[in-house]
Amino acid sequence: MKKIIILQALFCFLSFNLFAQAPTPGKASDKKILIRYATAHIGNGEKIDNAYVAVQGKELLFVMDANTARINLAEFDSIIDASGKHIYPGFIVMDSRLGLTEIDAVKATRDFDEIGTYNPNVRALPAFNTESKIIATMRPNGVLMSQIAPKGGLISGASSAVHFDGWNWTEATVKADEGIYLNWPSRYRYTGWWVEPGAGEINKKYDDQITEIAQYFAEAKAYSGFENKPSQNLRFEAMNGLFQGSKRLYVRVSWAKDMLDVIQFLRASGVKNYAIVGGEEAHLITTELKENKVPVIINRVHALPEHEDDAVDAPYSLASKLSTAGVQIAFAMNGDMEAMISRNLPFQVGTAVHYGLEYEKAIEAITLTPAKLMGIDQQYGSLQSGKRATFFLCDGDAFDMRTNQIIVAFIEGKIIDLNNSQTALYEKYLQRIED
Amino acid sequence: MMKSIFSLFAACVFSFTLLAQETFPVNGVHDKKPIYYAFTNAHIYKSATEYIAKGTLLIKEGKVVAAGAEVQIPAGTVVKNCEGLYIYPSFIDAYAGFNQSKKGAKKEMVPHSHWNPSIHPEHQYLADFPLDEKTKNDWLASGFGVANLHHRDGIMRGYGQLIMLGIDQPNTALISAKSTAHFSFAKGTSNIDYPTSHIGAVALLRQSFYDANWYEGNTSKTKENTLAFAEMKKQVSANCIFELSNPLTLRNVIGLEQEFGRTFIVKGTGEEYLLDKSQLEGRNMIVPISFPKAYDIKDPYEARMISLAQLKQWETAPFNPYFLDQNGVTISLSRDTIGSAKEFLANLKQVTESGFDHDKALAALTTTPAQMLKVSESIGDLKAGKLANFFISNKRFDEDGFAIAQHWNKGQMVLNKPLPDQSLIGDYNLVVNGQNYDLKITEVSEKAIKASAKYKGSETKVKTTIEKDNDLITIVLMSGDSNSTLLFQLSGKLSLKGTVWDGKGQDNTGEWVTWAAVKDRKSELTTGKTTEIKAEVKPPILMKPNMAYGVIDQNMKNTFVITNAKVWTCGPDGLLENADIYVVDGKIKSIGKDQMYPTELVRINANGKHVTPGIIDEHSHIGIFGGANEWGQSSSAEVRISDAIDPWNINIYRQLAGGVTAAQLLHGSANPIGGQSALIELKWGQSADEMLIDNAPGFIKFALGENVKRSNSNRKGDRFPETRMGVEQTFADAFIRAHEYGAPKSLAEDTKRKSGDENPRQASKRKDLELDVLLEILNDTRYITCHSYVQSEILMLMNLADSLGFRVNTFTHILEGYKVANEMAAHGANGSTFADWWAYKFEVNDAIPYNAALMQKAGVNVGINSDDAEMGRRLNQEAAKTMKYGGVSEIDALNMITINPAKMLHLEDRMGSIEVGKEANLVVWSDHPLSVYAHPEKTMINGVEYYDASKAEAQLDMINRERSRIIALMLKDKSSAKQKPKAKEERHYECDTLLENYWEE
Repeated sequence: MKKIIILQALFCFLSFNLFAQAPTPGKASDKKILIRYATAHIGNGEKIDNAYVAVQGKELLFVMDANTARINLAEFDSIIDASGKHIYPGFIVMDSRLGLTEIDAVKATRDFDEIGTYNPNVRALPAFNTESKIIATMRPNGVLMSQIAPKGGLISGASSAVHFDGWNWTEATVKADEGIYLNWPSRYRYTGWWVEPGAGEINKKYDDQITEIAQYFAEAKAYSGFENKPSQNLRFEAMNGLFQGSKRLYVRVSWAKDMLDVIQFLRASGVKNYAIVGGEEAHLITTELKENKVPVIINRVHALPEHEDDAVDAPYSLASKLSTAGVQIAFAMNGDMEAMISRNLPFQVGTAVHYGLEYEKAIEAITLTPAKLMGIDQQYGSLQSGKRATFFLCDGDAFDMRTNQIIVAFIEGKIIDLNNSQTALYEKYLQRIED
Repeated sequence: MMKSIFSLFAACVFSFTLLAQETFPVNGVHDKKPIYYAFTNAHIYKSATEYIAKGTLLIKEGKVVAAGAEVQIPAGTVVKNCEGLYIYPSFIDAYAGFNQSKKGAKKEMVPHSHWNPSIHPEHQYLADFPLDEKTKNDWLASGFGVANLHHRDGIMRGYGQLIMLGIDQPNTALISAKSTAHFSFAKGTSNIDYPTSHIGAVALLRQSFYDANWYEGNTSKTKENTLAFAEMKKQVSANCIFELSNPLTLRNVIGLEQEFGRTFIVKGTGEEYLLDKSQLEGRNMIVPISFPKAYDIKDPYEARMISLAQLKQWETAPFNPYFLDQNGVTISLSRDTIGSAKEFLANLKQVTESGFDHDKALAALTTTPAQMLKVSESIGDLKAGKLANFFISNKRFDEDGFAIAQHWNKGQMVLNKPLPDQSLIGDYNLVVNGQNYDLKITEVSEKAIKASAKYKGSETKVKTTIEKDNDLITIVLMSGDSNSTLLFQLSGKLSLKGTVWDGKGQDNTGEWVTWAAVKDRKSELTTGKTTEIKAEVKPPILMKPNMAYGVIDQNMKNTFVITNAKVWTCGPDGLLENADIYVVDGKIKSIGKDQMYPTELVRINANGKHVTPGIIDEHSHIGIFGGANEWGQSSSAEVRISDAIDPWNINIYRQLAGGVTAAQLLHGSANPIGGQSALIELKWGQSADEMLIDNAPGFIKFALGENVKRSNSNRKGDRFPETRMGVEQTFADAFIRAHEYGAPKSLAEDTKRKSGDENPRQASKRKDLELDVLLEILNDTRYITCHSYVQSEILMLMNLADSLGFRVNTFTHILEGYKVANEMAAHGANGSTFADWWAYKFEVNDAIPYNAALMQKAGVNVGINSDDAEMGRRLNQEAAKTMKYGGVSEIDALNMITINPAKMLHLEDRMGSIEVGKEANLVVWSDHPLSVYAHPEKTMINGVEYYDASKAEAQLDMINRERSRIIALMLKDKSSAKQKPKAKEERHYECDTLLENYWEE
């Protein structure tokens, strides 16, 4: 059985340059690969405990239960025995600035916050740097895709779905400009920081601001009704998709009352699809969220409670509360140091699991659900035959820091290099210490 | 009757004012008035403890002659009948908050002054005479006849001035020119950076007091001639008033008192009810009574922005005097900065209804402030010989409708505010030109008289407008229909006191008519209001701290046994299956299996659970108020984080819930030589002093790299150093200074002696708090924790340390430690790092998550720290990452948050592992402590359980019920304007405190 590869030998089989800065993209191959006997977490809330997962070219050939399926092993060029291991679809982090920033404190590397209040036409995609050293550190943790999104202004701009392998942004693009990001004003604001929380502030301009936003959307919608445009407005052009249903509106909003305003506003706005991002108080309005079918992209499980009086574990248990109430959820890592910290997505979701989120639902929330939100679920987000082979094989539970050891990862059927600048420095200085 | 007193006296008031100016030349004929005034038949509060039900107050030439029930009225007396009225000694405000003009304020450095513009003890406050008429009258109308004023700016503010408010001439109004000396922790308008923080303010005060002592012994030789120091010494015996920034700063005042043998009267913030009796008992305090307004929280979502702490503050604030009194504080009440007499009097009434009764309040407004200010022989009561400072009111000040009619200062009537004549109220038979009307007067206020009228025997209304001017009255009658046709304009006088009015008027054709109104006596009897008897308000229950998750009765039991646990000892015994941990009096007595325990011993069955030592966070900034950075100078070794511990910070509780039991609270990283650390145990509900670890070794924060050279700050080019080159020189200079400071004086003194200096002792060494600390480092009695990132700077400091004779105990952050791990091991430095942080600034570009593993491999003692309130509550997860990145073993990973940081902090003989004899700082985990699926179920410090996850539901329920109860009270409250929700109060900080937001301190 020369084709059966034992795991330890896998890296000999893959020839990667260990000291690469950002690793070289994977090479396409038409070989048939079978990974057998692992637990396959499908991404749709189901799992197969003893699975066959087969890859050919860009696609998943099939995902089947090894206990019942009959296959012809001879067809495969390589067979990986993965008993006791786990297979997950590539994790997807939403509302991300990965590739849009490299060093948070260095302005020259910050490409996510454009000047202006209404920038629906500003696109994250052309600023996406596939050479980012940070992105290369996502892959060894199972984070293989993201939604990259601009952050500034009221309407920040257009987000896109990308994967983390490709020579340039055009190759990394999964879906261009799939959404528009809106920063909903907030009635209240905390000042200061955690060392010294400051006095609270009321946003006196709140009513004016939401009136202005409503006006803007009304104008954009009116513009979208032109059959023959008298003149082109770049901003309104970018908004068209919202009213036609080809783009989703993502609304960053935290407080319950503000979210209720968002729901009321969007009901009459003509925007077809939207989602709430943040939603720190979403557990207070689950009925309204469910009734209106509003998905919530939870921002950072590892956060301090919003209010002093909140349950100590409030941010940890939010996902479970929403999921139990039937609200569709996904996850983002928005905030300080978000780019580099995005590699902790699996552990943050692991914490949510410990606080009540059902395990396979947790997988779904970082695979199929975000794919659905971005409209890429036909090809991404779950282990189903015909979909793009974007997944990884993990030594143990990917949500636990102790066992998140990735053996092999595929993006679009290509085996990717899990080395990066950090592993290179590790190897280099390990030698110094060992000598 | 009361009316007469006002009308007669009003005329003679202002002729008095020139009388007392004995040294002033008189333009005209002298007008000395050796006459007496007698106020008879009044309720007199001769003093806070002497009430005369019906007595006479006799005064002459500005002083009290007598006050009593049987006072002989001599010839030459103007007698005023004050029947039914009250006479009180004028209130004294020891800390009045007005007249804050900038006149005389210290604007710039002048000779003889201290180097720091916030230190100006020599400054003399001069009131701005004449006082603003409106303000003055408002204060007089709130009962205050005497006020102590000072310039509220700076840390040592100089002298205050005690004056009588009603008198316009400075020399007559003055009671005491240097009545008080004032201190605070707020630097105010000083134009230099230092101090930028509360800890800096404390250090500056300490250094200044030391300097004053040194200066005294060295005046003849020192090159300095600093008036400030001389004044500081004089003020030891003055009435020194220290204004707190927040209740916690009382601890600092006590510290200064103990260190320098001084005594301060403390001006509180109104929240001192939060403090323990041990800090309060026997203390003189000035207590403001401005209370937080009720919040406008009709909307339940908006109400979430208000914390239980804020709600409880609103409820408890009026009880502050009560609680302080209970704790043995001597109280002077102060109007402080309350804007209006109305608000002050309403609050005062509220205080009397909140457990601090009328007589106590009166003492706190009269005799007590007089005693505190040491002016009891002239003011504070109405005993013979005292200054005739008093006011006349209609009621006791704890009654509804209390109002002050007159205020007298030094025998002069300085406020005359006729009270609305309530005797007008009643039913009248009004006859105008033969037509009878029923007239009803229902309300008489300062602004208007409310009246209605009807034709007699009919329901037809007549519109009525009434105005009264002394004893004359004007009435306008108009038809009650929509036309409002004028019927009569009437003018008349009071004929028979309070019962009959009559006079003339014109009808709508201009014809003159006569009219009269006779009051129905029966109505007078029935309108007498019954006084409302209010149910006594119970003082709210205080929690420790008084906020969400506060504790009412901490169970201090610390003897028990944990049985059948999987015990991660983090010590030589490694991992023990099914072991018991027997804890007696907070210490680990034995670890083992199947032992015999006393039958009544509390047993905690931990079958299936894991127990670890409490997590120790080597790098934390939680629970610090007033700024964690004193960045005003490149070395601030003199500041101490222990001066600014906030034991009421919710993050302390949240970290306990994450299994953290001890932490090093570090100074920030804004300057190369930062401040001294505080090592605490997270004993939630206890005071700052109880949290500080006894006899903990001394630590200091150093910092290197981008923060100290302010690479990411908006302020640039104004503080050395700006490069890593300069950083090295800053350290070299500091330690060379310290060496010289610590060296024996002999050489310098010998030189002097030889040169014929007659008194070399005079040049005694000035105590320098900064150099004392650096010297401790050189003497190995203080350890360095150094914020550091890149290899170049790490090597620089180790080399410098080697050459100057000190050691770097710990490099913290140390994200490039892996590059110089061998060198660190050789130097003996510990490494306390993050599990996986990087990419947030340029100097962490080469940071790798394998750092901890590599440093450990090279033999460095490695810890994983938080530097972040959020990460601090799941350090177990961070430690577990070292298993993923670098393959560290489970036991080694856990050691990185327990015994290893204990070693770094030189606390390993007391904590950090589960070993016999060590403190029982324990965490019971629901699962494997390094698993993402584990949480602490119990966290214990010295055997006391400070966190219990199983109580979370009950706690939340209690929080919600308390919230709802107080919100209901608030929604009912109609007493004052409401404020919009504010998310958090400013209790924990000062507005003067600048803070550089280094988000990754």
